[in-house]
Amino acid sequence: MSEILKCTGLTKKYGSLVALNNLDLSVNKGQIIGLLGPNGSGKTTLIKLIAGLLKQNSGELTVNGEKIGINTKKIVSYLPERTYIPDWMRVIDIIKMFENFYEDFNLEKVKIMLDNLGIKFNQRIKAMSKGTKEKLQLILVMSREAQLYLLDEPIAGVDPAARDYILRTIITNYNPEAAVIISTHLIQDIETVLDDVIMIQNGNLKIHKTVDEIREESGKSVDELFREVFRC
Amino acid sequence: MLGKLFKTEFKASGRLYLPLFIGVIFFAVVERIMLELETRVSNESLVLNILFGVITVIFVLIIISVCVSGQFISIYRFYKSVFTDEGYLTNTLPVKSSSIIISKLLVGVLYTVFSYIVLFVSGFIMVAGDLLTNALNGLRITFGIENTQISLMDFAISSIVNLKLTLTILAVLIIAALFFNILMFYVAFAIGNMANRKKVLLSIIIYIVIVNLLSIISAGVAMFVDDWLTLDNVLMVNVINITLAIILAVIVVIGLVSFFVTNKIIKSKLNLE
Repeated sequence: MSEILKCTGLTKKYGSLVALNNLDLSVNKGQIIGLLGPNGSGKTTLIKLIAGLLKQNSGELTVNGEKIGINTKKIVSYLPERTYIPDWMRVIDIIKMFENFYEDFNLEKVKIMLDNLGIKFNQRIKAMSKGTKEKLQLILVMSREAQLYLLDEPIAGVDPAARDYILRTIITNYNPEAAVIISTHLIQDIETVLDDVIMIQNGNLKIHKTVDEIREESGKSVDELFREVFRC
Repeated sequence: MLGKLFKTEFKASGRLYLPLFIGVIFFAVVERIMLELETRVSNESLVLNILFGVITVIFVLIIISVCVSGQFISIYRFYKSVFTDEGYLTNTLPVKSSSIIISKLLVGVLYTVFSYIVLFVSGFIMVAGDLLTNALNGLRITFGIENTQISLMDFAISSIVNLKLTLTILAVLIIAALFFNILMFYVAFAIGNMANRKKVLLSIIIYIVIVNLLSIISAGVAMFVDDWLTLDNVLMVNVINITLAIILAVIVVIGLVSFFVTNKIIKSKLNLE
């Protein structure tokens, strides 16, 4: 399996606070990875560094062998933990924007998913609930034929029915050439779709194993292991 | 990609400028109608006078907002789409950071020019016809042009031989200044964004510092030119042209430096927390 993401000695500081500390990590194509850790562990920082919204203080970070830049942004599809679609737009405007800027954008996929989740093309973003905005963003992100999907809390703000649909979408979009990194606290909900688990704490890598390894070695589910490792 | 970015920004900014432009033109027409009514109907009508007063106040307010908005909207759009939540969309697009800056800068300058055109048109609507003729006559009489047969243009040409060159430099200078003003804000916001908190406040302080530093530099240049003026062998016309050229050069150099600093920060030091 070829490598899609590689971090070597990756360090990010906010002033005196160390968000990521000398992190070494490698992710292969064809995997769905759960990025887990307590609040403030560095999950979002890692995802933002890969997306190119932050710059590391030291260390190397490559996607598909390239440093973060235009070429990596072309193949990385990123769902932030907040809503970013300008309020004045309609659904059709943001779809056109994605179609304009991303070569890998699949319009047919968008149409099907919008239809399934009952979102109309001419709906105004301003009039949408937070949950609907999150669904729309996820639809846009999953409608790209990307090689690396970064999903930061993709299911936190949506109802359980939509949650199931989203997870089904992630699995059915499975592509052996692509990897999916999902950061979440709702471990039980996503446990069944994960291949690998990365647990980080205070910016340090705690565990990087396959779900099967975790079950075999500890006899526990990922959720149980998480509660044990990060017991307060 | 620059074209696509330009198109996107043109639309996003247009939605903010357009209501102002329509407002100015609309109120200019209303003002004109009121003026005509006032002169033709009656000066005694209290209702008409109050209405005229209210409309005039609104019109003036809109004109002021158009004057200010030219740059303000451009700066707001830049800040909002690069450094706030919208930045999560803008900065993950597979485009060069320089293209993002250039597209927003061009749109900002373009709409500033549009706003001046709209103001000019609204002024024309207000005074076109008899009013304009009267105003021009007034000007002519004030300057005594009819009596002495010397036109303003003749006067200008006689004192500034190389008028064409001066006007050309001046035109380029005005265009450069439009870019320059917006770039000063861009660089201030880019530097301010590098801080971990109070980014907007810091950006404004940085802007004030930059503007003050530039005033000091301009004062220095003015003193240098002033010394030079005393030299007998330098013609007045050359002094004007050279002064303008120096200002232009300073604006272009500082503008370019600001652009590169802004680009460098967005490219290598982006700090979206």
